[in-house]
Amino acid sequence: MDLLAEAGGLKLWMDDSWSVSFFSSPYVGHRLLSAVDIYQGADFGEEAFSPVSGVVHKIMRFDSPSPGGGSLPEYLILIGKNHSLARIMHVEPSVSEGELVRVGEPIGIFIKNGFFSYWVDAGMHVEVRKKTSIMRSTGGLELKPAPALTETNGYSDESVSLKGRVMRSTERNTVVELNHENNVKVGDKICRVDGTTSLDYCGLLGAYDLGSVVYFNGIELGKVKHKGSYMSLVENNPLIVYVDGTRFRGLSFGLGCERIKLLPPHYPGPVYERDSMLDVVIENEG
Amino acid sequence: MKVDEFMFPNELKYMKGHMWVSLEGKKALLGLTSLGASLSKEIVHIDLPLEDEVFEALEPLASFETIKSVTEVNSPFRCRVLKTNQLLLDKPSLLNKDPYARGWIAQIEALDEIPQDELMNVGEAVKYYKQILSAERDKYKGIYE
Repeated sequence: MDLLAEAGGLKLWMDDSWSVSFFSSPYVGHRLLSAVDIYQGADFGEEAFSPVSGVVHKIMRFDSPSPGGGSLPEYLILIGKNHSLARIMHVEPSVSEGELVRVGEPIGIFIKNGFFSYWVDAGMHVEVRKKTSIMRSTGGLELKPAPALTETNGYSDESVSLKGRVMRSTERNTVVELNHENNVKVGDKICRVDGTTSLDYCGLLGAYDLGSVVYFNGIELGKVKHKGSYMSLVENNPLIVYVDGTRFRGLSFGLGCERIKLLPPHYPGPVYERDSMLDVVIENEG
Repeated sequence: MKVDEFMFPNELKYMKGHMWVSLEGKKALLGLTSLGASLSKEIVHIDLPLEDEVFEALEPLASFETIKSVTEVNSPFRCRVLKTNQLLLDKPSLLNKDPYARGWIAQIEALDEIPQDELMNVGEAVKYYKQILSAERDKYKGIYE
């Protein structure tokens, strides 16, 4: 297991086959630099593994948002040591309060509910909390991402026609390996980008000055609007994404696996054959 | 009137953002619609404004939280806060359980003539929220199947 992030003396870990995102979500914990989504390559209904070691402090059940016709359950699983707890969502627990859990051990199964949109894969939402602040959506401690996640592998100044090799494709989304690094240019610096073009914001790994312009493959993604201690928020420009000529909802940059996720305009989206090549075009709207 | 299972009382006005407004002269009571309450299940906290606080039109005057989301409550017009529902501080779940009665959020007073452009009557609201509900259900496709 590799270090993913830490806060309040608590360390979160990830396997090298998992992908993670601090910013590909509209929810407030991500906007406050205090949440990370972890995708373990499993589908809904499959086993979820702990990113943290500690004792299961508390398990709580809630109803999730619903557009009518009943509501699906959501859970908070709080695992930790001393005064800090990992607050894990989107997993139906198989562990019990008081149980000792180690990193990588199963803690339940991935669930879907009203906190998910159709393009979102099975994954857990994780924050670090003080024991006195567990219920509200705000109150997460600022996460410090592991140095390995912030390392970049270069940036080509010359814009290229983007092409993606399909690695995995479902009715929810398609993951491609792009012929361009998942890096952006901020002023004269290069850094990792994380987030989704269809949201009003994305994030950078690293603290960058307010107003700095962020470029990906020659396209202006937006400007830095908030500088945290270890990460920054970018106000996204409105962007349009086309995949093989079809307008998509957007694309997500991820961390961990060097891949990009294409979000179809509706459910079910097109399913592509593995290793097929897709043209990806990103344009500024208007 | 109803949008599917969600009630929209005829006598109220409505704003975009799932809020209802009950007008009486220059005074108004604000609250969350039943559709809004369903899209924010299990509200666990609310921040209320102070009495006499003044807000511009569409400025956030309160906010509430579920375990994962924060929603702002915008002022429908330039106003002064007369009273807030202190019951919600201990029982924010009233916003979900009784959104049109015990779950009211604030009583406000308009500081100018009440502009009608941000307020929908029930017929307009039902038409608008039918579209919103349809978009929400599109977003959730594949989740409830």
